[in-house]
Amino acid sequence: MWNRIRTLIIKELRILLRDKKTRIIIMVPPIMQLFLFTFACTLEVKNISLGILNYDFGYESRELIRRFEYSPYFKKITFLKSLKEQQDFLDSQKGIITLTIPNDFSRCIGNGDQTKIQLLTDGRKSSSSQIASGYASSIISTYLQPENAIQTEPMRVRNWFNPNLDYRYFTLPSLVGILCMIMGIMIPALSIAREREFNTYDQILVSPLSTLELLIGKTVPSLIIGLFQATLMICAAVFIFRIPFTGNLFLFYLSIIIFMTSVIGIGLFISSLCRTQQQAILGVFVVCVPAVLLSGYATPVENMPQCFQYLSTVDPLRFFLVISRGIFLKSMTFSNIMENLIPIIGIAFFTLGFAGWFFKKKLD
Amino acid sequence: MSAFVEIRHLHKEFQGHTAINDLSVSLEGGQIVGLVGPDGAGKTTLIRLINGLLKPTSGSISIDGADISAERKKLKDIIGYMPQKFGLYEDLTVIENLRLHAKLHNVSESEQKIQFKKMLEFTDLTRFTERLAGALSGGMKQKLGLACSLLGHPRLLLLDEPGVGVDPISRQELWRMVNELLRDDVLVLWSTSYLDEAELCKNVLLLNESKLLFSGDPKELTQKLDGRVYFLKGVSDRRQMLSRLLDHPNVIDGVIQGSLLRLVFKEGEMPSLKMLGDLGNDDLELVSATPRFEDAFMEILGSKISGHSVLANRLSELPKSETITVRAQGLVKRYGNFTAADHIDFEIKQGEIFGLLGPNGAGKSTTFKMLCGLLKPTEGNAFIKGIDLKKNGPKARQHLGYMAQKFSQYDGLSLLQNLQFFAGIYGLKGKELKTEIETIVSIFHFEPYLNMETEKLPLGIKQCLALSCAVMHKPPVLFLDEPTSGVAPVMRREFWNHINGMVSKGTTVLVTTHFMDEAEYCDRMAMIYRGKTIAMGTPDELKRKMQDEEHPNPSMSDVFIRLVEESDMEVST
Repeated sequence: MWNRIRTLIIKELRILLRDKKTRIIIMVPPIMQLFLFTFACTLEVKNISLGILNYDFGYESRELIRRFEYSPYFKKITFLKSLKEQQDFLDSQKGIITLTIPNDFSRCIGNGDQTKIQLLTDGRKSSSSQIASGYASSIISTYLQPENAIQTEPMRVRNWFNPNLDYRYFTLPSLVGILCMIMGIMIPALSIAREREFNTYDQILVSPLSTLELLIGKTVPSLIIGLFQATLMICAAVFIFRIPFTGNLFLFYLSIIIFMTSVIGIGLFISSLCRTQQQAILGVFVVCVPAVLLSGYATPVENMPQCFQYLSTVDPLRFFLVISRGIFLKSMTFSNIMENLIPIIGIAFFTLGFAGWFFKKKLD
Repeated sequence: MSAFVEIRHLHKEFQGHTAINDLSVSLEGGQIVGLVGPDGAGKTTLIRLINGLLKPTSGSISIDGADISAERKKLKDIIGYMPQKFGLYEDLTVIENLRLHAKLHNVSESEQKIQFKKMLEFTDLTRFTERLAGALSGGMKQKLGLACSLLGHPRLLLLDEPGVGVDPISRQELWRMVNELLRDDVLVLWSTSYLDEAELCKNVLLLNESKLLFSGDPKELTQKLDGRVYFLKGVSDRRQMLSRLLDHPNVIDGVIQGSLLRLVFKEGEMPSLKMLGDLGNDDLELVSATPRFEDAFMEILGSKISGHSVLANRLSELPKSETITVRAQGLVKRYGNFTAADHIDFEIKQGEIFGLLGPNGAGKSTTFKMLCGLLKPTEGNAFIKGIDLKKNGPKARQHLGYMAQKFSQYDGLSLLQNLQFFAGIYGLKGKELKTEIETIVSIFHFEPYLNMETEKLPLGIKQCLALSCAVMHKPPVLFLDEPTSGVAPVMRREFWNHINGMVSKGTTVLVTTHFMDEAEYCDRMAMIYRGKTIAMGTPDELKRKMQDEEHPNPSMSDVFIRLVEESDMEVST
């Protein structure tokens, strides 16, 4: 039995790694995607383009504008000359926020009177606008604080595990999971469809291979390649992006293996349904996109409607993201890992069992 | 005045590989010209060159006085072309396909109606006008393809292997259709790898390895063999006898035909039993036979094959016994209301070649698949060496060697890696695996190809590889699915030599085929039609049943056609 499984694994690996092109296809995209996601998918709002319509020519407004100029968040400041220009600025999406300073701004402050400032934001980009207006308000309110007021600190916020709130701390460990999942579904999904396309599937089915042997023989090669890619990505995260790896590496690999097994089961299941590789790729797409959306990578699971929260419990990525972030950033404890690993084990049994049942249905 | 089609010094190369080598021929209208040759001989290339779909490397082709590469647009309307594959849109209905092709050939609306009616009646497809082309049977698809290529009254009709993968009945109908359509000026170029089909043409072009070996009346070639073709009667062990005789210096070709051996002798001496030496049997008799085109073809190729199968030599002889090795017991397969196989029963003894014959879609593939475990029967059981496939599939399959119809080794692996893989999944390991692979490599002379990727291998080597992968674990039972369809006669003989050798050693063989020559090699066969066994017996028994005044000497093809017709009559009454 082991001999047959070994033969099958060697064959799968040979086919996957047969030439330089395929080898590059397996190695380069995950790393490329890792860079792409990390740099392109920033969740922070930085480099905001701000429009200022200033009716006031006094000292106070110049001083306020200088505060904006020195802020790290606002990069490009455009001075607007009329209401019309302000309208254009937002309409043509040159920026998402404008600041209007009234003509009596300096005078009111000088007199110690109340004054008003208007912030206009682009609601089409609701979350960025909100963040930008938050930054702007905090600059304005600090400026308006009386100079002689006692600097008190009623509250000090400290961010655990990610003291500088670097968004990469959040995205990179998640990406390791997401990219592993995509590969872990894609490789096995294509493998059986490819055998069907090239008529080799029948040849395998008439051989004495049993369902279990076939299942193992198809799972292990994807697992090996998945682990290799995961290693590449972990190295990139730690050595290139300098994400701290605080947890236990052995436990992390154990979790990856179990997680990969569960998604390979999904891939094999897709594969057993498809006749061609094209169909299989479509199948992968149909599964992967919702799996990422439900995982809590982009939006917290807690914010989803109740029914989607239930649905997300069959998404292995949801649990793995918790483990991945936990091990990377906060040295997650064994019991905490197990809490999230057990659902994945359950899912793995289910998906592999289902794929096996489908193979068997065809075999016997 | 030049001929209708004039080909001069035609030469075509693909990336350094010569596909057509210095071919010159002129063809007049009003005839069917057979374009014959094994796979890869250059038939399709020639047809595509004539059609202007490929540009010649050098040389010229002119049709009706106009050069094809210069004036293709003008000539387009007088050429009808039926490609080997993809000629039809499977997602369109029969009538939509016709309309599309009519538009492509600029047939006017009013003319369309007349032509469609004629074509539909002619092809007997009127009932299926609204059916999707993809849902038609193989034979009907070819007929529709032919009808499409006939629209607009072409004067040159190029048919690229219309008979491939089509059962004898449909082939006969296609042939009849083309003949009836033949008007005075139409030239039909009919490409085929079936030599019996070529024999019907008055004029053939024989291509082999990119060269034109012969052009003219096939009778010219067959006449040369008059008095050199004989049947050997009264043979007790025909396989052993054939293998002995093929090694005789005076015998240039031999095949099994039912209980007889068909032998072609060398030119010169008058063949006699004495000449063959001591054959250890006194009841032998030589009876003169009519030469066939295939005999001539084999002679012109001049390659004689040895009667010994080195592949069989590595097998140890199984003790002769009457045990049943393969058994189909009331096999039924239903898809919804449709019964693809209806209570199929048969038994195959050890060391027997059993054939499953039938037209496309008759249920022979379904039966075959149920016997090797690729399909689960709705009812009934299949046994290999007494093991029920349903109960212990993997164990039963260990005894099986399987060769699929289409090439099904891994394209991405090298030849050696394929051998290693198939040896491995059949449980060979370590030293045993190494020696078995070494033996196979030396038997088939695979050495130069070991590290070549399988997709780049020559066709013949591919076929040998497929056979090697099936027999490497020395299976006592061998399943062959249309093993030699589209394979050249020489290779077919070599292939059957190996099979015969292995059968002599006690291997049991189940083969599906619609190649009637192949059926002659079987010890017994079952004719499957509409999911039912309509006849079973030895080839001679079946032939004897069909003997009548009209057919004193029925061929396997005649038997097949008669049996199917009779069965159709029963159904309709």
